[in-house]
Amino acid sequence: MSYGIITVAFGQAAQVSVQRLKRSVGDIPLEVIDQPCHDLYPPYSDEFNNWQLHKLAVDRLSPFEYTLYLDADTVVQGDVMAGFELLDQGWDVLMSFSEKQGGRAMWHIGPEERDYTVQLLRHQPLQLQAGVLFFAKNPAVTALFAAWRHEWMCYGGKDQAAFLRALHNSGPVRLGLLGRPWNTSKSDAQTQVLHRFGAARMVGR
Amino acid sequence: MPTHVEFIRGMTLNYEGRQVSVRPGDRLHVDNSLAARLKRTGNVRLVTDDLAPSEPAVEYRAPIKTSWLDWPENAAMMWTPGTPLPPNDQLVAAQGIIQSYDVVLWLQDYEHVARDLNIRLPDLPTDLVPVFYPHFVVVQLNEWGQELVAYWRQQVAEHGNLTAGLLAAYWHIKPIAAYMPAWGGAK
Repeated sequence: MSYGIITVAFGQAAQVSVQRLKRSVGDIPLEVIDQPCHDLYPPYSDEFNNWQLHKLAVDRLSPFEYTLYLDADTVVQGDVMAGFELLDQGWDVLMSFSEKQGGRAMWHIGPEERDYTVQLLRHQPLQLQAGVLFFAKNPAVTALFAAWRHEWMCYGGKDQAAFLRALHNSGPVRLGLLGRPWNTSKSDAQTQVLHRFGAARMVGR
Repeated sequence: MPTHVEFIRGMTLNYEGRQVSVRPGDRLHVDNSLAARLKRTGNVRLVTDDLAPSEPAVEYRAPIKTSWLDWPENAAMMWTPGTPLPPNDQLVAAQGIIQSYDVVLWLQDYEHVARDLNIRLPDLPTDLVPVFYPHFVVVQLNEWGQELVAYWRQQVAEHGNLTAGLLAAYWHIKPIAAYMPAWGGAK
């Protein structure tokens, strides 16, 4: 199997963050998308050079069979090979969930989009966090990413609510749930990926 | 950790802010001080065998507790009687979700992983995985759902641990799963 990490880092602040990420990944191949790919969304390439749309297209941009997408403001602290092994065992996607749940879920999403998402799902969902995302290349995952891009374009902005709607609307995906140490802002002995939320804040602006 | 008690006598008590009527034989997880008080008055016995192989989760296909809850024919609930149920809105949502997923799982909490609870998953490359609430699980009665339940029961029979058995089954069977948020009663 081919495996590796991909990240999207547009802008100076993101570039600084990604240097820290590079140092942390060891021997695992790292693909950095640092320039808009103008043929990604033809014929609207000028309108769609947003970094987030590139994040939502990493299924198409990744050269790997098994990919770990990481936000540019993350640092690998543990052994992430377990995630690739789980993909090899048959999972389509592996990810963790947000710190904020329940009444605080989707706190950073606009009220209109938040209400629409809850209305569509018909319950307060578990808020997943897509800044650390293992995925395989297969038709189910391709459909999920396509649905994610479609949902994101409805509102723009943050992508978590769009991801929940994409999961709801796309075909079935074998999504394995990882514990918080795989995507956490707390650094301790269990931490696999440290997420320094906001460290690459200027990305894409 | 709350204490698992079985009621010897029927009574009404304040449970998590609600007035709950219990019958002899009903079981609940209650905080330790309440358990001690109930034990002193002879109303309960402490349950020490809730992880024993002889007591797996009980399968219910009929509506539970709330008569308005109309579960689809192709779904089954695994519920340990006497343990808390998820909030009504999540139960209602699960009714629809289970039509397109193999299993609906609730998180036990947001912080703990299998390693914290000394749950060993020998076939899994990481033990930093979340723990699911084992006392209420909804499965679709398709091949994957039934395999999950069969494997779970086998694990409980072999190792006697409902929580570890569910995790082992989940990672072994790899179901199309829907994940529901934790809630107070799951802790």
